Amino acid sequence: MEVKKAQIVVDGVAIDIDRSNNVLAACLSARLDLPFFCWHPSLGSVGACRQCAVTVYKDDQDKVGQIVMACMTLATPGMIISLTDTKSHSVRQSVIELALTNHPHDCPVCEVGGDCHLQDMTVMTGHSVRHYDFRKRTHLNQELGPFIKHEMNRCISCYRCVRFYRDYADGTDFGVFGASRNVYFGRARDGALESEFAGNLIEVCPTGVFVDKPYAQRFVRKWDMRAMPSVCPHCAVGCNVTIQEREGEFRRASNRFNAAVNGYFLCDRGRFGIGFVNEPKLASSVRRDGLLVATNDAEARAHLVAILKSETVIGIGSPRASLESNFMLRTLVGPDRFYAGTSDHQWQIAAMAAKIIAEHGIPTASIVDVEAADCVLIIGDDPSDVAPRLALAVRQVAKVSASGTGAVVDLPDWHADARKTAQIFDKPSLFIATPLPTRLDALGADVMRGTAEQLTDMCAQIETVLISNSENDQAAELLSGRAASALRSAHRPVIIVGGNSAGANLLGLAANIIIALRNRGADARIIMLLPEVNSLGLALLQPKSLNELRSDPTIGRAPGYIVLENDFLRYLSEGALADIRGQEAKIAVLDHVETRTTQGADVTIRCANFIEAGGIVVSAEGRAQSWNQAIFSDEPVTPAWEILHEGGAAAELIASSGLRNQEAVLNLLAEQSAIFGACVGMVATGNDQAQPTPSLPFRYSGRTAVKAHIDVREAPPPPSSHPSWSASMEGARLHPDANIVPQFWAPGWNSSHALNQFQTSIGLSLRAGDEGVLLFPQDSELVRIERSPARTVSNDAIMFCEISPVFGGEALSARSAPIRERMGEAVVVVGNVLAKSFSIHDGAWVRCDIGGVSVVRKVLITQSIVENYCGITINVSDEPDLLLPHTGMITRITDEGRA
Amino acid sequence: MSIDKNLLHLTEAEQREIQEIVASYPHPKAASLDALLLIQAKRRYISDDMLAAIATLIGISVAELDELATFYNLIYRKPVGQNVILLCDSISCWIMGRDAIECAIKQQLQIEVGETDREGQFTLLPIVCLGHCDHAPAMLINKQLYGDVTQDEVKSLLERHKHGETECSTP
Amino acid sequence: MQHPLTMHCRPVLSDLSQPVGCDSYRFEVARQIIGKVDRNYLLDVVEQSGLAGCGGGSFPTGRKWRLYPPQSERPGPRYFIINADEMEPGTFKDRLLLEDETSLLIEGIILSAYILDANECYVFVRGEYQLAIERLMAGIEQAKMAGLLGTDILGSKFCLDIHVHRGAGRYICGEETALLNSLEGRRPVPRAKPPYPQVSGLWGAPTIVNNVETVANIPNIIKNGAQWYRSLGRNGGVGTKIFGVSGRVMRPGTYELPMGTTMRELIEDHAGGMRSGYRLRAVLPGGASTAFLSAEQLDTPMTPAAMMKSGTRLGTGTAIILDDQTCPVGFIANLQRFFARESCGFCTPCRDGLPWVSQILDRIEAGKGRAEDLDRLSDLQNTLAAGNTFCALAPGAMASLQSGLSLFRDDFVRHIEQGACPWK
Ligand SMILES: Cc1cc2nc3c(=O)[nH]c(=O)nc-3n(C[C@H](O)[C@H](O)[C@H](O)COP(=O)(O)O)c2cc1C
Ligand code: SF4
Ligand code: FES
Repeated sequence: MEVKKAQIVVDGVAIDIDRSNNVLAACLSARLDLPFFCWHPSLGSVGACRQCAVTVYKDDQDKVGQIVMACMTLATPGMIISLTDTKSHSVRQSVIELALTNHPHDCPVCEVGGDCHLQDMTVMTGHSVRHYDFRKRTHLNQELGPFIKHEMNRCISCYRCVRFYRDYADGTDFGVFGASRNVYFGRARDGALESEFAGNLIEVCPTGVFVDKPYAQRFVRKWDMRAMPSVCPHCAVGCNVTIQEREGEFRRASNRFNAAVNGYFLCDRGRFGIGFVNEPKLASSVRRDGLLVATNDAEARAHLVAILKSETVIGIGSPRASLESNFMLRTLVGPDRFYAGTSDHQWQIAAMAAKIIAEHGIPTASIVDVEAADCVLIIGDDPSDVAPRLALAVRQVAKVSASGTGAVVDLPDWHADARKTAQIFDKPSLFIATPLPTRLDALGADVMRGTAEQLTDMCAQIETVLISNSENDQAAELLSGRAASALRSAHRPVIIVGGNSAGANLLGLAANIIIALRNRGADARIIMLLPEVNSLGLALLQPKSLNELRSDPTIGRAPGYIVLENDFLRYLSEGALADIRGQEAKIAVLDHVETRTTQGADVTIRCANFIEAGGIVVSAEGRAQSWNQAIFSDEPVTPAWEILHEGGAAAELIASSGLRNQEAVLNLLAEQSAIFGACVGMVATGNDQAQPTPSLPFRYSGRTAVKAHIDVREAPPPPSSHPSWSASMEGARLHPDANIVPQFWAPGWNSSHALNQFQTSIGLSLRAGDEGVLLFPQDSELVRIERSPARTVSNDAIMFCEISPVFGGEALSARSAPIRERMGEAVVVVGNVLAKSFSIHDGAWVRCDIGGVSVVRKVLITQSIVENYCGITINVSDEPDLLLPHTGMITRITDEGRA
Repeated sequence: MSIDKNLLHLTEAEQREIQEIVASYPHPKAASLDALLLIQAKRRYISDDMLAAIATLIGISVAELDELATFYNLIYRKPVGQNVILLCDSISCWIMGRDAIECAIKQQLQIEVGETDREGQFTLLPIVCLGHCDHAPAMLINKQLYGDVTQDEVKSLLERHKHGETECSTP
Repeated sequence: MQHPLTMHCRPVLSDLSQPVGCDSYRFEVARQIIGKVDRNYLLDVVEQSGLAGCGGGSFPTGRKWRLYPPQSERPGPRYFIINADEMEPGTFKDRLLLEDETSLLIEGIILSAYILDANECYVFVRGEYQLAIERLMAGIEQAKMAGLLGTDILGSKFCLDIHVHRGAGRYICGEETALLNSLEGRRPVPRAKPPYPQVSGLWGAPTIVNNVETVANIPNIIKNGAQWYRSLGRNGGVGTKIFGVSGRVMRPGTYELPMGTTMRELIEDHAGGMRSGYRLRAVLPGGASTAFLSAEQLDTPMTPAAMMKSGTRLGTGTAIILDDQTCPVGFIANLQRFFARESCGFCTPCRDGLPWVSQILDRIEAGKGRAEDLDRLSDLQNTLAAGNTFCALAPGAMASLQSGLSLFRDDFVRHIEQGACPWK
């Protein structure tokens, strides 16, 4: 047979191999059925489960061959192997029988039955008769917190969980205990798993040991749920998720592979925060005699029309609402009256980020770019809380940097354990410069704690060193010097910058470093930390700041406020609030959750949340991705932009026909701002891709039809506003070129591992694409940003910076019950020196007075914080925004004082 | 700080010794076994408190340390008696009648393998080949290796250990 | 007959409390060699001597050392590790050397480390070997006093430290890569090879792991030359080997004899033959991981090659005798119980297969066996074959099962048919 350079022969058929792939990945990439357990595309190979046995032949003449583990064998051009020979087949069959000796046959009551890699592999090997007739070993389960249920008896000891939790996610409170047949995977004691990535155990485990707990409590079989792709609404990373529902009720969110964004993993804020959609929703209401009373949508919308007819109509946009809704609002009120409903500080950061990407052409980094970076510099904020999935990627940088022995010993990427051994002393090329401690400090990074001024100086210094091309002797001792020289020799450096603590200025300075690096020929990229899923999308619409709203002299009496999915009153100072009240403003709020703002409104109108209707959001990377309608209830909920469109038409602000569907809305947007051009393509009708998506699973049958008591024929889902986001009754099938693959299933592959069959090659993008669209060309001309003077703070004032905790730190996740259970105590992080001067001890209670707001926090003392700075956790649901960073005071209080 | 509370379970001398061990390795984690064995030698077994204290000193998590502690035969995570009897159960000793010795010990102490007698004097555990096969059956009581053990001498052997005459020379 | 390895050893059954020869040991070879003789030349000598690893694998030591990259290629820490974890059932030769030939071993370490240009040595001793540990510590102290350890040894710029590391008990720690993990404070499961320890061993640095007995041979080989060493052997073997015999023989014990001495000579001439009233049925020639040598094969010379030809391995060279009054099923069951318990639990076939094997054997021994049990055992034995498991533990365990199933088939069948063990 003619075999090309990059091919191996499997059972007489030549298949392509990637450079340095192992045989298992090569076979799976060719969509061959080869069973495995311990190997994982992101975790690599360790050869523990011995399930992927294949026979390798020396040459054409060799008829006997030798058994090897495919996952541990480098695929070399011309290699001859067999999967179908009786020798390797019988090894695989015997090995799975052994793996199953202690496995309870509890599939009928197991949450992953039908969604189980172990079941699939059992069928794939053909093993069907159990011969083991002794007692099985049994274990006690642990209580692992609100996210995960533990069923240790189902364990087949593939070691994937511990490799993910410890080696990949750097969690420390989980491990493998005991030896021989008696190995146990869990925590040292009962208790909630600490890592914010623990939820991935659910998908990493090939069987049902780690079970999605909220899902288990409202359980339905996988094949009885509808599935649609979506985007996690909890931060600006924009991880892709699969949403599953039944009877109009959200059941679970799981990772949806996107090669450029989240790969194989999500964070727990995303996975378990999405449950907020099952909590009580906002009801449409109007204020009568000072009280909000529930009403029907029609009446609420009539009130909206009345407000829209006010002389001055002010629109408050939202970083958590879709591009369409924000744009529709801007269209109704006009760009001059369109405001970002965020704090001014956040507005500055988002505006700067938009400017850097859209005007200055600075290329952004995807998660993949971060993982592949050879040098990472983190400035300003800790990504761990704001962009957890990004932080997980940073953790991989620490592992792949092969500066030490790893480089001497040539090890393929997938050789997981050997790499771990070789790199134990490697110091990652990771630099962190922040005022507050970060959870990434512990990675062995080079860390500096600095004030806002020090950080801006540092950035400027780095840039100078890079431009001048000289070693700065003075700086050599400093982090700026070390970082500059590491960046100088890096080929793919990434800078992660956040302005929460040190201001928007820092973003611009970081961008200048990127320019200096790119001018030196490096593929340098930036990623800016933004708080909400569509922060960048909103900023690109150029809303004005709330500060400008306050000082706008043209706003007369009784203006109308249209607030879009935003708790914007949180961000107003007492003075600003009083001003608005003084104007006798009428406030209409469109939202799906209740907030302080809806409570203070004159009209509330229930609009669709992110799974009730489609929409486009733009991630911090500048990637436009779409939410698809994923829940199909009998009474469809209208997205905000449609409500606004209808109201605007009724108020005769716009033509009643023009913007009937999303395509039209986006077309208009693209007309006004060319960068959004690509969004139109994402929803374009009139081509094949606009077919309704077959969201029902293959096995959905009359027997399990939702309304089987009425009719065994499943009712078709109600129509949606856009054909490609609507769902059909068709079952999911292997549809390689479909625009939207609702969920992954292939013959023999019922678990999430069916994904293998949909990728162009293992770990690479989906064959159907579906990675969203980067809105900005990455090769535009780069323009340096002028440095504006940093804000100086008097030396003796205490500076408070925001910590927005991973659980509950943004607008929505705190509304999900399991997340609420995991939200930590509200704390203020204080340095040793400050603690001493206030004579407060760890765990003491203090009152923090910050810009007229006073909040109570528990003290957490740290060694590692810049002098006179404090970190303070924000509490999104119960307090007005603290408008951080801000100076303030700390006063010690007693326990009674607390009450 | 809360972490330091863990350390209170160890004496200062013990803490110092562990720190010395940690310093003697290129990587702190390598000190784990030495530290466990050290503390066990003083305290007979590794309690949860000890485990937490040692982990703190080495700078690893409790789970990480317990992964090791639960792996090895010679680390005891549950209380043991004053004397630990390790009776070889490997092949040469089995041929030479170690089962009978086990019976004799069990009878003498009124315990099963893995248990500690009522007085807290003896714990009986099985052990793999002690490298004393030419003098099978063999057993190790504390630091003392015995070979060619006979059923008849079990009683007197145990008596001797009970009275603390453990550092005597070979039988 | 020469017995260079055990020159200083106590006579059988003498006093354990006194180390022999320690204080007076002169480290003559090391003194003549270090800083004076070229490393490559010494490596050639070791290679030409034909010395094979005594840890059970019989891998040629010279060839192993050749794979160790020279200092110029891999600067930084470089390790030499002595495997003194002796836990293979029926094996008791390393303890002898550790306790009684401590200084010879230390001299062997110094010379080997010098040849390899390794600067850190760990002796990984199983925790139960209390006396060995004490003597090693004393021996190292003595070598230090003699100026043979530390920095710039004998003015040669060569530096070496020897550390004694106590194991905490697990057979798998004897597997050289599991040993490295154990030393590092990781769970002692084996590592995948490649990369071999020579290239990425302890903490990723170049590392050689050798058995105690292997290293103890080095001083005499260097002193007397490769030719001398080769000439010590017989019947195609090279050098001497510490053989051992346990079970119902007249004089169980260790015997340093020419490599290639036959099994019959070992048992009959040196160990004094069987005790009266007992007949030999078969022998495990080199510890629990070797296959049975039948009574008819006793004339096989004990060399790695000849043993291989007889369907077994030399292993550790310590023979365990199965006599006619011991139940072969019980014998094999005991071995399998050991392996099942000592599996590290990392790979599926070993972790879940060995307990099954052990349970079936216990059932047969207890008289509750079923006809199909024997087929199940041979299926399992095929599944747990080399290549299917992660390391050599489970395949090692299968050696006695496989040979036992064919040698003692009748005995197995009798257990099952009679519903009881005929020896009870
Ligand atoms: C399960 C297992 C246990 C082993 N135990 C020992 C041991 O206790 N002592 C030893 O020297 N080698 C042991 N070995 C062999 C070592 O892996 C290694 O081959 C040996 O230490 C190399 O030394 P050598 O070349 O000098 O023989 C064991 C191997 C396996 C697979
Ligand atoms: S064969 Fe597998 S489970 Fe057994 S000891 Fe080796 S690696 Fe561990
Ligand atoms: S997948 Fe290859 S051994 Fe587990």
